[in-house]
Amino acid sequence: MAVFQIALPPRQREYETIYLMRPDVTKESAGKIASRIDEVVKRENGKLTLVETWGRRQLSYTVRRCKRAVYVYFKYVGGNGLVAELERNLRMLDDVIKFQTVLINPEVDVAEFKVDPEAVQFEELNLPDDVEDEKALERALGFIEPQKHARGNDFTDDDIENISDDDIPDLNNTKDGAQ
Amino acid sequence: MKDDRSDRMDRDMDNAGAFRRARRRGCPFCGDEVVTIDYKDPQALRYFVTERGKIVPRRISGVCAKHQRELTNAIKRARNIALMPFTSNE
Repeated sequence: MAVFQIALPPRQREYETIYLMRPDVTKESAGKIASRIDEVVKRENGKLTLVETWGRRQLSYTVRRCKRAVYVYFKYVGGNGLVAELERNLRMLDDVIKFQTVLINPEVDVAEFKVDPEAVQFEELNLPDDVEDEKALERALGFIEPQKHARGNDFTDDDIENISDDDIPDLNNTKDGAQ
Repeated sequence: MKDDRSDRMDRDMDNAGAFRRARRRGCPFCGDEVVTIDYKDPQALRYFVTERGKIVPRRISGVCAKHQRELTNAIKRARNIALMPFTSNE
Protein backbone atom coordinates (compact mmCIF):
# COMPACT_ATOMS: atom_id res chain seq x y z
CA MET A 1 0.00 0.00 0.00
CA ALA A 2 1.32 3.35 -0.98
CA VAL A 3 1.85 5.73 1.89
CA PHE A 4 1.74 9.39 1.11
CA GLN A 5 3.67 11.68 3.34
CA ILE A 6 2.84 15.32 3.33
CA ALA A 7 5.73 17.50 4.31
CA LEU A 8 4.29 20.03 6.72
CA PRO A 9 6.26 23.17 7.40
CA PRO A 10 7.83 23.09 10.86
CA ARG A 11 5.61 24.56 13.53
CA GLN A 12 6.53 28.09 14.54
CA ARG A 13 5.98 29.45 18.00
CA GLU A 14 6.23 32.89 19.51
CA TYR A 15 8.49 33.41 22.53
CA GLU A 16 9.72 36.29 24.63
CA THR A 17 13.01 36.40 26.46
CA ILE A 18 14.32 38.78 29.10
CA TYR A 19 18.02 38.77 29.87
CA LEU A 20 19.88 40.67 32.56
CA MET A 21 23.35 42.07 32.01
CA ARG A 22 25.81 43.20 34.69
CA PRO A 23 25.24 46.85 35.69
CA ASP A 24 28.79 47.78 34.66
CA VAL A 25 28.53 46.21 31.21
CA THR A 26 30.36 48.17 28.53
CA LYS A 27 28.74 49.47 25.38
CA GLU A 28 30.91 47.17 23.25
CA SER A 29 30.10 44.09 25.29
CA ALA A 30 26.36 44.81 25.18
CA GLY A 31 26.65 45.27 21.41
CA LYS A 32 28.40 41.89 21.06
CA ILE A 33 25.66 40.15 23.05
CA ALA A 34 23.00 41.79 20.89
CA SER A 35 24.68 40.80 17.63
CA ARG A 36 25.13 37.24 18.88
CA ILE A 37 21.42 36.95 19.69
CA ASP A 38 20.55 38.37 16.30
CA GLU A 39 22.88 35.88 14.62
CA VAL A 40 21.54 32.86 16.54
CA VAL A 41 17.92 33.75 15.75
CA LYS A 42 18.72 34.10 12.04
CA ARG A 43 20.78 30.90 11.96
CA GLU A 44 17.91 28.89 13.46
CA ASN A 45 15.44 30.33 10.93
CA GLY A 46 13.72 32.47 13.51
CA LYS A 47 12.57 36.04 13.29
CA LEU A 48 12.88 38.86 15.81
CA THR A 49 9.65 40.79 16.21
CA LEU A 50 10.37 43.26 19.02
CA VAL A 51 13.39 44.44 21.00
CA GLU A 52 13.22 46.72 24.04
CA THR A 53 15.97 47.88 26.37
CA TRP A 54 14.52 48.63 29.79
CA GLY A 55 17.75 50.11 31.14
CA ARG A 56 19.43 49.65 34.47
CA ARG A 57 17.03 48.58 37.21
CA GLN A 58 17.17 47.71 40.87
CA LEU A 59 16.94 43.93 41.40
CA SER A 60 14.59 42.52 44.02
CA TYR A 61 17.39 40.28 45.29
CA THR A 62 21.11 39.98 44.71
CA VAL A 63 22.08 38.01 41.62
CA ARG A 64 25.76 37.06 41.27
CA ARG A 65 26.62 39.85 43.73
CA CYS A 66 24.82 42.46 41.59
CA LYS A 67 22.11 44.64 43.10
CA ARG A 68 21.21 46.27 39.79
CA ALA A 69 21.14 44.95 36.25
CA VAL A 70 20.48 46.09 32.70
CA TYR A 71 17.25 44.52 31.42
CA VAL A 72 16.75 43.67 27.73
CA TYR A 73 13.48 42.22 26.46
CA PHE A 74 12.86 40.73 23.03
CA LYS A 75 10.16 38.77 21.23
CA TYR A 76 10.71 36.35 18.39
CA VAL A 77 9.16 33.61 16.33
CA GLY A 78 10.96 30.34 15.87
CA GLY A 79 10.76 26.60 15.60
CA ASN A 80 12.23 23.64 17.41
CA GLY A 81 15.59 24.13 18.99
CA LEU A 82 15.79 27.90 18.77
CA VAL A 83 15.16 28.52 22.46
CA ALA A 84 17.65 25.83 23.50
CA GLU A 85 20.32 27.26 21.21
CA LEU A 86 19.63 30.83 22.33
CA GLU A 87 19.77 29.90 26.03
CA ARG A 88 22.95 27.87 25.48
CA ASN A 89 24.56 31.00 24.02
CA LEU A 90 23.26 33.27 26.79
CA ARG A 91 24.63 30.87 29.39
CA MET A 92 28.10 31.17 27.88
CA LEU A 93 28.20 34.96 28.08
CA ASP A 94 29.80 36.24 31.28
CA ASP A 95 28.03 39.59 31.22
CA VAL A 96 24.58 37.94 31.17
CA ILE A 97 23.67 37.12 34.76
CA LYS A 98 20.12 35.84 34.32
CA PHE A 99 17.58 35.11 31.59
CA GLN A 100 14.06 33.79 31.23
CA THR A 101 12.09 32.65 28.19
CA VAL A 102 8.30 32.45 28.08
CA LEU A 103 6.14 30.90 25.37
CA ILE A 104 3.54 33.45 24.26
CA ASN A 105 1.79 31.72 21.39
CA PRO A 106 2.16 27.98 20.65
CA GLU A 107 1.25 28.24 16.96
CA VAL A 108 1.77 31.27 14.75
CA ASP A 109 1.83 31.95 11.05
CA VAL A 110 5.12 33.65 10.26
CA ALA A 111 3.79 35.18 7.05
CA GLU A 112 1.24 37.14 9.05
CA PHE A 113 3.91 38.91 11.07
CA LYS A 114 4.68 42.35 9.81
CA VAL A 115 7.78 43.51 11.58
CA ASP A 116 8.86 47.10 11.83
CA PRO A 117 12.62 46.99 11.04
CA GLU A 118 13.29 49.72 13.60
CA ALA A 119 11.54 47.77 16.37
CA VAL A 120 13.97 44.86 16.05
CA GLN A 121 17.16 46.88 16.35
CA PHE A 122 19.05 46.42 19.59
CA GLU A 123 19.57 49.88 21.07
CA GLU A 124 23.09 51.06 21.69
CA LEU A 125 23.62 51.10 25.42
CA ASN A 126 24.13 54.67 26.62
CA LEU A 127 23.78 54.51 30.37
CA PRO A 128 25.53 56.70 32.92
CA ASP A 129 28.22 54.97 34.98
CA ASP A 130 26.89 52.68 37.65
CA VAL A 131 27.60 54.55 40.88
CA GLU A 132 27.13 52.67 44.10
CA ASP A 133 24.68 54.43 46.39
CA GLU A 134 26.79 56.68 48.63
CA LYS A 135 24.46 56.19 51.57
CA ALA A 136 24.31 52.40 51.24
CA LEU A 137 26.91 51.80 53.94
CA GLU A 138 25.26 54.21 56.38
CA ARG A 139 21.91 52.54 55.74
CA ALA A 140 23.40 49.08 56.28
CA LEU A 141 24.89 50.20 59.58
CA GLY A 142 21.53 51.52 60.69
CA PHE A 143 22.37 55.23 60.78
CA ILE A 144 19.61 55.95 58.28
CA GLU A 145 16.10 54.49 58.33
CA PRO A 146 15.60 52.14 55.36
CA GLN A 147 13.14 53.43 52.80
CA LYS A 148 9.93 51.48 52.73
CA HIS A 149 8.87 50.36 49.28
CA ALA A 150 5.48 51.36 47.96
CA ARG A 151 3.20 48.37 48.34
CA GLY A 152 -0.19 47.53 46.97
CA ASN A 153 -1.45 46.21 50.29
CA ASP A 154 -0.39 46.03 53.89
CA PHE A 155 -1.09 42.36 54.63
CA THR A 156 1.51 40.75 56.78
CA ASP A 157 2.07 37.01 56.91
CA ASP A 158 0.53 36.89 60.40
CA ASP A 159 -2.58 38.53 59.00
CA ILE A 160 -3.00 35.65 56.59
CA GLU A 161 -2.51 32.99 59.24
CA ASN A 162 -4.82 34.59 61.79
CA ILE A 163 -7.32 36.44 59.66
CA SER A 164 -10.98 36.24 60.53
CA ASP A 165 -13.92 36.82 58.21
CA ASP A 166 -14.45 40.30 59.64
CA ASP A 167 -10.98 41.36 58.54
CA ILE A 168 -11.45 40.42 54.90
CA PRO A 169 -11.25 43.65 52.91
CA ASP A 170 -13.41 44.42 49.90
CA LEU A 171 -10.98 44.69 47.00
CA ASN A 172 -13.63 45.93 44.62
CA ASN A 173 -14.10 49.00 46.70
CA THR A 174 -10.72 50.68 46.69
CA LYS A 175 -11.69 53.40 49.16
CA ASP A 176 -11.94 51.04 52.12
CA GLY A 177 -10.06 48.17 50.46
CA ALA A 178 -6.79 47.15 52.10
CA GLN A 179 -6.81 47.67 55.84
CA MET B 1 -35.90 22.79 72.71
CA LYS B 2 -32.59 24.04 71.46
CA ASP B 3 -29.55 23.97 73.64
CA ASP B 4 -27.10 26.86 74.00
CA ARG B 5 -24.68 25.45 71.50
CA SER B 6 -27.16 25.11 68.65
CA ASP B 7 -28.49 28.61 69.42
CA ARG B 8 -25.01 29.98 69.10
CA MET B 9 -24.46 28.09 65.83
CA ASP B 10 -27.69 29.46 64.40
CA ARG B 11 -26.67 32.97 65.35
CA ASP B 12 -23.21 32.50 63.81
CA MET B 13 -24.68 31.17 60.60
CA ASP B 14 -27.10 34.09 60.42
CA ASN B 15 -24.24 36.51 60.96
CA ALA B 16 -22.13 34.78 58.35
CA GLY B 17 -24.95 34.97 55.82
CA ALA B 18 -25.53 38.64 56.50
CA PHE B 19 -21.81 39.27 56.23
CA ARG B 20 -21.56 37.55 52.86
CA ARG B 21 -24.58 39.31 51.46
CA ALA B 22 -23.22 42.67 52.54
CA ARG B 23 -19.77 42.11 51.09
CA ARG B 24 -20.46 40.88 47.57
CA ARG B 25 -16.80 40.36 46.85
CA GLY B 26 -15.92 39.48 43.29
CA CYS B 27 -12.90 38.77 41.20
CA PRO B 28 -11.23 42.06 40.25
CA PHE B 29 -10.16 40.58 36.89
CA CYS B 30 -13.49 39.02 35.86
CA GLY B 31 -15.41 42.28 35.92
CA ASP B 32 -12.92 44.39 34.06
CA GLU B 33 -11.39 42.81 30.97
CA VAL B 34 -9.02 45.73 30.50
CA VAL B 35 -7.05 44.65 33.58
CA THR B 36 -4.63 41.95 32.51
CA ILE B 37 -2.24 39.80 34.51
CA ASP B 38 1.29 40.34 33.24
CA TYR B 39 4.48 39.17 34.91
CA LYS B 40 6.31 42.16 33.42
CA ASP B 41 4.24 44.59 35.49
CA PRO B 42 5.36 43.98 39.09
CA GLN B 43 3.61 47.11 40.40
CA ALA B 44 0.21 45.62 39.53
CA LEU B 45 1.15 42.25 41.06
CA ARG B 46 2.30 43.82 44.34
CA TYR B 47 -1.32 44.16 45.39
CA PHE B 48 -1.56 40.37 45.55
CA VAL B 49 1.49 39.67 47.70
CA THR B 50 2.09 40.36 51.39
CA GLU B 51 4.72 42.71 52.76
CA ARG B 52 6.98 39.71 53.08
CA GLY B 53 6.36 38.64 49.50
CA LYS B 54 3.95 35.73 50.03
CA ILE B 55 1.11 35.29 47.56
CA VAL B 56 -2.20 36.37 49.15
CA PRO B 57 -4.67 33.45 49.17
CA ARG B 58 -7.81 33.92 47.16
CA ARG B 59 -10.06 33.56 50.18
CA ILE B 60 -8.67 36.92 51.22
CA SER B 61 -8.17 38.70 47.91
CA GLY B 62 -11.44 37.46 46.40
CA VAL B 63 -9.83 36.48 43.09
CA CYS B 64 -11.55 33.62 41.21
CA ALA B 65 -9.77 30.26 40.82
CA LYS B 66 -8.89 30.76 37.16
CA HIS B 67 -7.34 34.18 37.68
CA GLN B 68 -5.59 33.09 40.88
CA ARG B 69 -3.81 30.40 38.83
CA GLU B 70 -2.74 33.00 36.26
CA LEU B 71 -1.72 35.39 39.02
CA THR B 72 0.37 32.74 40.77
CA ASN B 73 2.17 31.95 37.51
CA ALA B 74 2.81 35.63 36.84
CA ILE B 75 4.17 36.26 40.35
CA LYS B 76 6.47 33.24 40.10
CA ARG B 77 7.77 34.39 36.70
CA ALA B 78 8.34 37.92 38.03
CA ARG B 79 10.23 36.48 41.00
CA ASN B 80 12.41 34.35 38.74
CA ILE B 81 13.59 37.33 36.71
CA ALA B 82 14.15 39.44 39.88
CA LEU B 83 11.30 41.87 39.26
CA MET B 84 9.70 40.75 42.54
CA PRO B 85 11.24 39.41 45.72
CA PHE B 86 10.93 35.79 46.88
CA THR B 87 11.00 37.12 50.41
CA SER B 88 11.77 40.36 52.14
CA ASN B 89 13.31 40.78 55.58
CA GLU B 90 12.62 44.51 55.86
